[in-house]
Amino acid sequence: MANSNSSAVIDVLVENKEISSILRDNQQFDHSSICSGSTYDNSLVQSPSIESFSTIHDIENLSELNMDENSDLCVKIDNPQKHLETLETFITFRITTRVARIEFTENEYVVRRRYNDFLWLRQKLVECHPFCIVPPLPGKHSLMGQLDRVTQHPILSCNEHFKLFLTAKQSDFNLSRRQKLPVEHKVRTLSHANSTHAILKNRHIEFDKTKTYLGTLAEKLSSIEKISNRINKERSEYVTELNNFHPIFTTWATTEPELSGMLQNIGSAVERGSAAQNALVQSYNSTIGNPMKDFLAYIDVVQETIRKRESYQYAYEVSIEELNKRHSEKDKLIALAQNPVSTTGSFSLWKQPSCDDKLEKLGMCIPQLLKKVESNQDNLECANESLRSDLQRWQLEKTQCLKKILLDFVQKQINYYQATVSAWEYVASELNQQNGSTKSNAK
Amino acid sequence: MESVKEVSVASSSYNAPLVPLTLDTLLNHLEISVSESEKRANGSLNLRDFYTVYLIETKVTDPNCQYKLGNLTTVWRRYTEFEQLRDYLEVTYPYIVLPPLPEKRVMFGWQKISNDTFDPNFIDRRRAGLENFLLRIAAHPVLTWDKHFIEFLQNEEGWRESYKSNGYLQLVENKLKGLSVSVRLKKPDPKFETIRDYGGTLYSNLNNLLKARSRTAEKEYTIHKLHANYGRVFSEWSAIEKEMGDALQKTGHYLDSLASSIDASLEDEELLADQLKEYLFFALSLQSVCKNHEVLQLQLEDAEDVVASKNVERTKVQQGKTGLMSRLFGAVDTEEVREFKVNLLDQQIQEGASTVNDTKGNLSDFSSKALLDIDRFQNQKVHDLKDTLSNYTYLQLKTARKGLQTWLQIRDCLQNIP
Repeated sequence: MANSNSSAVIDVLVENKEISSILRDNQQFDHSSICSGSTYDNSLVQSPSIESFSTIHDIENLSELNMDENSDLCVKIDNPQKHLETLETFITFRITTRVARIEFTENEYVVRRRYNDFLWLRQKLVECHPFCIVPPLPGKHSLMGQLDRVTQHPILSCNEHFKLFLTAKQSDFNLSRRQKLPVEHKVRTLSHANSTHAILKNRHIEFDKTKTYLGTLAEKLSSIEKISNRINKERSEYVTELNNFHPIFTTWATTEPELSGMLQNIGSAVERGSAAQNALVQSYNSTIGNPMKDFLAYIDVVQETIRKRESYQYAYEVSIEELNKRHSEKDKLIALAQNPVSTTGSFSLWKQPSCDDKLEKLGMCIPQLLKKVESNQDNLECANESLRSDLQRWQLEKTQCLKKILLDFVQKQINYYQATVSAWEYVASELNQQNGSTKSNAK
Repeated sequence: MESVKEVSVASSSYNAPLVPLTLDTLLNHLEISVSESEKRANGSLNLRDFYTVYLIETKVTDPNCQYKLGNLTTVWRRYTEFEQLRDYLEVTYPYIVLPPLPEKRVMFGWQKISNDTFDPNFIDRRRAGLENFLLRIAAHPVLTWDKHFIEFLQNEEGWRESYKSNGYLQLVENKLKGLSVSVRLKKPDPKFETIRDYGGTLYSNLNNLLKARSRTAEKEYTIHKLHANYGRVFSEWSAIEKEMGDALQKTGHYLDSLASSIDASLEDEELLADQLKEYLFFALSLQSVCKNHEVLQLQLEDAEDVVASKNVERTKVQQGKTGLMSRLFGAVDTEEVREFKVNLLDQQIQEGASTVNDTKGNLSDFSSKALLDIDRFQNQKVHDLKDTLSNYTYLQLKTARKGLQTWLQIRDCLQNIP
């Protein structure tokens, strides 16, 4: 999959063992930085933060892409590769697509994309579908997650830019990225969009409820993540204490011939428990830490989309207000014209033309305003519809996503306890055996 | 060695001492328990000093008991009185590996185990420890019928007076002085050296084990208690959810139960730690016996030294080479004087020799009694520690199974989310 001739492709060691040892060495890493600038002792040279890719396994062959039963589009990401070019260093990922849709000419596509391309894709999706909830891209570890969500989205997955992203060869893709897109695709950037303090005349109860719900949900999930983090730290210290504890049994066993077997068994059970606990600690980031953070970012996107809708409503209300103002102005002027106030001659003559001028201006202005109001209303209704339907879809996705995260978390706990139970069951069974034999000796 | 059939006599939370069935101990006739504790105040109103007393109850179980025993007695004793009893036993039976008292100050404390000796939990564990101490003595083949021990159990004031009047306090102080002198033996007994070294390693291993255990207990406790926070958040979350609400609510409850379940299992574990602590102190008792042996051996060596030097002197006198004066002036003792000196020395040598014999006798007597008791102790130790370690294993297994069950229930709950 060599790209441009000028870049040197260095095969990155994707073996999990290597990366997990790097993970251990560098506990803190910045998700958002492309270049960590740190050097490692083994073959990776000045690599961009590659630690986050430990979960991306290489797919051996395309048949591994098991198509879901009902899906006509399946996308997988793997094989991160480092590229050294004259001006920059970056990583690309191999995107493999299996598709059975008419819009796609082939059934299978394999392309390489870099992180910036993902950012571009998201930007385009947001521009094209302002009231769809477009999954966020908080960090490099969430690439697969984002792709999955877009693939499963009924509207987003049909987007032409997404198609381009999946299918275009590198050179074509770069070309079209640099092309200026037609203006109508650009969403009207409303100055009000940023004012979160925009007070709406008519509060939309339904969306308000959703906003409140999302706020509380984010709060609860954030709490859960904090608690989990704290517990994980304590667990890690617990592992240290256990590792101080179990060797003492072994040491003691050397001076107690009659208790030696028992002591050694207990010591090794404690050791096994410690190892299982350690596995639990190591799994934290991939099980809860990152997924929770990603989901919280997703909630932020929903909140943002709701705010966008509000800005549309605000714009609409503002335009109505202006129209009404002009209407009342006009009415006042007409009333004045019909009932002229009798004053000294030249004065009243002087007033008349300016009054007519004004009326003329209003006569032009009001229809424009009316059009504006109508278009705002249309936009608002579209936005409402669009958002409402995507919110419904998102609620379902949310349930499934959170359910999965929680189940993953619980499963890791179960694994830990199962390992511990089996370790102690072994010791107990050895004890029972011994007791059985001593009883028979005593007879 | 004949296999003696042994019977266990249970104490509240401790391992039961093994008693050879052939031996008649106090426990065959008397039920002993330390059943209650009470806080009392000492001194005038201005200077209140509190201490705790423990109630020792005894009941004769054998109606045909030929020994003079109070039928049903209750006696209040404080910890220092137990210490006095033990000091007396130490002085009287230096060759016995004495049962230890429960700790004077809190050792290996952690978050749940306060350092306060007035903490009700500590007092209750001390009460159990004191009962165990008495039962061990009552089951001991040598100690069981000691009069002062029985008096301690049954006669509140009487024992206090006889303790003072018998001058035991003085004896104990003297003995403690003697033990503080470091001993350098010419020919240390290898058997006792080995035992003393073993006592040292037993102490060190148990000490390390207990310390490390209390630290793991603290971590385990903290981790479980933090899960209560989950319980709260999940409950709050369930309130705003429709389809997930039920599952989240249940999960919250399960997590709460996980947090509260740890208390019981750590309390059980603490009792097992107390059993190990008893052997920590037993290791010191063992070393005490070895030390007493050293003291006796030193006495023997000193006595032998005296005889040896007297013999040398006698030879010198015999040959007429004594005194600086004679060497300077060449004066020689008259026959009479020389004979007189020789006879005196002979007498002293004879006395010295008999001292050596006596001391040798003491030493060998001590050694044989001590080795017998050390053997008994080792058997008891293996039996007790096997029990403790088994119970520790079953406790860990039980706790792990409970945890597993809770998480499986949580999983079932969550899987029911549509």
